[in-house]
Parts: sequence; C-alpha cells; structure tokens
Amino acid sequence: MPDYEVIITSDRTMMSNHHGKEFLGFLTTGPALFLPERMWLWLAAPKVRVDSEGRPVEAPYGLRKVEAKLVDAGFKAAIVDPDYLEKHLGSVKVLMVGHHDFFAYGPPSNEWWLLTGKEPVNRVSFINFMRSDAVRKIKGKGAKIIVGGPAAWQWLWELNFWEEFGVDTVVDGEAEKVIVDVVEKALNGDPLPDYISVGPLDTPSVEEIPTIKGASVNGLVEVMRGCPRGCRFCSVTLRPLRHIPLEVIEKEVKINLMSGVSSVLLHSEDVLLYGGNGVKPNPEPLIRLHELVRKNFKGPIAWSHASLASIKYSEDNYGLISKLMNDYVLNDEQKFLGVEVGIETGSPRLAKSVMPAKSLPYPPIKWPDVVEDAFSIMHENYVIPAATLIVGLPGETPDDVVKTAELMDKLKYYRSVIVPMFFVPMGNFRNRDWFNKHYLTSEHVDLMLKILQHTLYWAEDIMNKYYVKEPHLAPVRLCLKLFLQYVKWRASKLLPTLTATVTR
Amino acid sequence: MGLLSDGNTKRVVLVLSHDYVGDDLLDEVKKLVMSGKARRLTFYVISPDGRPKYFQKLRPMISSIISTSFTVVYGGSTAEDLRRLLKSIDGGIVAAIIVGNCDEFKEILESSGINYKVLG
Repeated sequence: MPDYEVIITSDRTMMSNHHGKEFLGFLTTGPALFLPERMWLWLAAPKVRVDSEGRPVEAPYGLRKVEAKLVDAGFKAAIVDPDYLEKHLGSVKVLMVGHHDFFAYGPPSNEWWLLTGKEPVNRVSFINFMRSDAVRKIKGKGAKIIVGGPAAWQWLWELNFWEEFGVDTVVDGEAEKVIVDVVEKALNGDPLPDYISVGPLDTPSVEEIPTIKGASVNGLVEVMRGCPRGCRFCSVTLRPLRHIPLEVIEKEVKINLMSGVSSVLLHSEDVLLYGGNGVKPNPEPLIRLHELVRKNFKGPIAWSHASLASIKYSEDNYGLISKLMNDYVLNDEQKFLGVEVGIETGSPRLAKSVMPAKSLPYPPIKWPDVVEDAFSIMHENYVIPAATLIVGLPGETPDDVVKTAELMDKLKYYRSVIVPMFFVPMGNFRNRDWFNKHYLTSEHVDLMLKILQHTLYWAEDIMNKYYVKEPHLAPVRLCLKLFLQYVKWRASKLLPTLTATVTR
Repeated sequence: MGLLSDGNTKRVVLVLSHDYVGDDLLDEVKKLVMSGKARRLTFYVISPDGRPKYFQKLRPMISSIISTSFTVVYGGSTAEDLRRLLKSIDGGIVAAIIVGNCDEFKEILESSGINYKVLG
C-alpha cells in the first residue's frame, strides 16, 4: 500500500453519493426526524464504495481538486473514506478536512436547527468524526490538521472546537494557489499560519485549476467558476468568472464514467451562462457542452444551478431550453432534469437593493415576472427546480415579504420544490447580523406556510412521477414518503409555536 | 511564489489587550486595505487570549476584508513574545496597532523603531 503522507477526507455526510440522488444530500442539513439518527444517515448519506486502501470511488469534487493539485505537485496525497483513516496511521503527516457546512451554520441547516431546536445531522456527524479514535490518533502522533472549503469561516464561531480538535490552519477561499505551499510547510515542520483567506486577486486562472484524478460524487463536473451577477448575500460572486474549456470538461466526464458513476452533474452558479456574454446566455457553447456529454453518455444529466433570468432569456430569444431538453437531455433513461435556482425575494424593491444584477438582462422591477416566466418554461420542459427564498435579507420590510407571498401564489401551478432559508451573513453581507426565529413576523409565517404547502404538494407529485423510481431504491422511496407524511403532521403541530413566537 | 511567501505581502503587528471590545481596529484595518498599500496582508497577533481564542476579537475584521488575501499568525501573549516575533519577522512591517492598555508593548515597538497606533 502506498504511504500517503497527506490524507484528504471529510465526515460521512459529505463522503456519500446520497444513493445517486444529489438532492437527497439535503437531508443531511436537517436533524434526524421520525427516524433514529443512524437510519437517517443511511437515508441521506449512505457509505460509498472504496478500494482496498479505503479510497472512495466517488468523492466530493472540492476534495478531488485539492487532491489533484497536491498529486500534480508531487505529494503522496489521497482522499480516504472517514471509516478507513486508521489504515494510514503509519504514514499520515497532514490530515486535510473539507466540508461545505462544518457546523450547520449555512443555509438551510441553520434554519432547520432553529425551527426544530435539534442539531442537524451534518453538524453531529462532523463533530463525531473529529472526535473519532482515528482523528485523535492522527493528531496524537503529531500530524497537522488543515481544514477548508466554503464553510471555513464557521471555525471563527466555533473556537472551542477549533481548540479541542487541534486544528492547525483554516483555509478560506479557492485553495489552488495556496495549498501546495501550506502542505509543504506542514511536512517540513515549518510554522503554519492559523488562518488564510484567499482574496479574488489570488484565485487560480483556468490553467491553474487541476483536472480531477478520481471520480466525483454523482459525476459533478465544474464548467464555470465564479458568477457575474454580484448578489450581495453570496460569497461566490466575489470571485472572478472563469469558463472551463470543453476538453477539460470532457476529460473529467470520462474519468467519472470510467469509475462507474452513472450520472453527469454540470456544475456552475449558472450553467446557462457557460460560454456566454456576461449575463446573456450564448446558445452555441451550451449546445456544444450538451453534445459533448451526450456523445459520451446516455444516462441522466443534471445542472447544479441556473439563474431564472438566464432560463427566460435563453428560451425567449433562442428557444434554447426546449432545444437542450428535447435534443440532448430527455430520452428513454431521463424524464426530467433537476436544477437549483434562486428566487430569494418576490419584491422588486428588495431585489434592486440586494441583487440588482440577478434579473439581468431584465430590470429588477420585472423580477417577479422573470421568476414566473422561468418557472413556466421549466414546467413545460420537464426541468424540475429546487428553488430557494431568503427570509430576513438586510433591509427587508413586511411589504417585501407580502410581495414574496404574492409571488408564491403565482408559482403554485408550477412543478417545483421551494425551500425558504434564513439569511446567513455571507458575501458582501458578511458583517451583517444573522436572522433568527425571534425576528419572525406574521408575514414571514404566512409566507413559510405557503411555501410548505407548495413544496409538500409538488414533492408528492414529483415522487410519484419522476423521483427515486429505481427498484433497488424502493426502501429509500418508502422512507421519503413516510418523511413527507411526517412533515405534514409536524407542520400542523409547529404552526401554533411559530404563531406564539411571532405574537411574543 | 505562493501566497504565504510572497514578497509583496505587507505585515501588520496587532497587539490586543484582554479587555478590548470595539470596532476601531476594524476601521483602522479598513483604512489600510483601502489605501491600496497592500495586495496581501499578514497579521501577526499578540494576545493574552491564546490560540485560537484570540479570533473572537478578530471576527469583525476578518468578515470585512473581502478584496485582499490575508493570513493570520499567532505570535504569543507576552512582551517577550513580541520581542521574539519582531526579531523573527524579516522587515516589511507597514503598521503596528496596539489595542487597549499595553504600555510594555509600546516600549518594545519604540525600541525597535516601529511606528504604532494606539486604539481603545
């Protein structure tokens, strides 16, 4: 067995393919409800296949990038499943731990936590992992612990855990240009900084982003990094926009397929802007991107995120959503395409204030119409969105919330799952106050009830017609159906509590 | 050359007293970043709070620096630690900021010929 000096890992909620259903991963952001925690973990984040060295066949894409950068630089580095760390006790000198929500402060984890009063599974799982014998032994033998990822900032709010776990360095931001230097220092026994924050000027160029060496969870492949829309609540938008060349994308798709991954998840903050002109989608590169995927693969394709303005613009001007869906995506094996979209607010006033470019090329005043038109386009073309709304954005007034509720009324006809999220200070709003349930107003409660009714209705419809239909996933399907029933019952119980909170 | 060893990195020494609470450190660092003096910053922190508890006082500052890369290094808690830190830093200190009542630290900075600002 190779002697890996650098082990890259995470806890089970991250190191899973969520039964091949990316959306099921969201269950890790909530507490275990109606099921024992072990069962909940199986439902949301089952164990993954590993090789004889404990290296997972599929691993989170961010960890794959770190692994690739270190391997390219000549380090003996590998991603290892959290259950197999002890196999490498003899060789490990640096333990790198990545996560997108270490302590469940991110959306929507913090919201489920606040509403239910129970710690989300991702937090519990991560803390248990860091307290595991394997991690303690690794730290005990003097290895350095480096943590990072999009949730790196959360360590600033968990200094007791930082101390308890013996974390040496926290890396916040895109790591490609810093990670080799940090690991080299760690291996040489040089002093390490406690905290590294990588600003926009130090983000890697396209050429500096390495190609992954092993498969990513559910075939995720990055097609673009950064976002041009500049929403003030978002951290991604602080980074410059980079388009990954088609030949690199193809290479990564092939790596995933060769490892037996049976899906392709195109990742970008707005897939429809791939090869685009600023905020305007450009049909040709998008068609070439989908052609390239279909040339290699007949199975399911998904987009990680798309903006509603891009969906409307590309369909209205080029009939592009229909073309991509009919000519490339839908086939005998694929009956829908899943994507995350952001509504955030139904108020044109608030949209103009906190996300003035999200509606572009349409003006912010038209934002509710853009949202409704995009939902209609997606409904007709079997694109099923998981949409987010942000409750408690800085500067939000009761009237803004009412406008969002009015938009929800218009969206009720369109197949979608909508998730409200409490505002978390990130991006240009990093220094603002957190939203918590004590700030809830009766308008918020009305809005959240509308969202709940919408999502429960459409979740059942989607489950019945499209989702988790594979015979081997019958137990998962049963658990999900029971879960939906539980949420309905629980919501009826929760309503008086919420109302009482608002009244107080 | 990597972010950690770049010659263009500006160095800032922060001496934080135990009882400091306030935003003037944040304002001072913002001025430094806005002045365009630094594309990258390294903060060397002397604090009696110990590692990593001293971050409690740095959260507002860290949350506010968006455009510039920076690293934070803990230098210890005592006057002797500051003396050792200054010896180990190979020049390039653009600012020293003392927050709170820390007279013994002022003397060390003065004797090293480093200009400092006192806040709080």
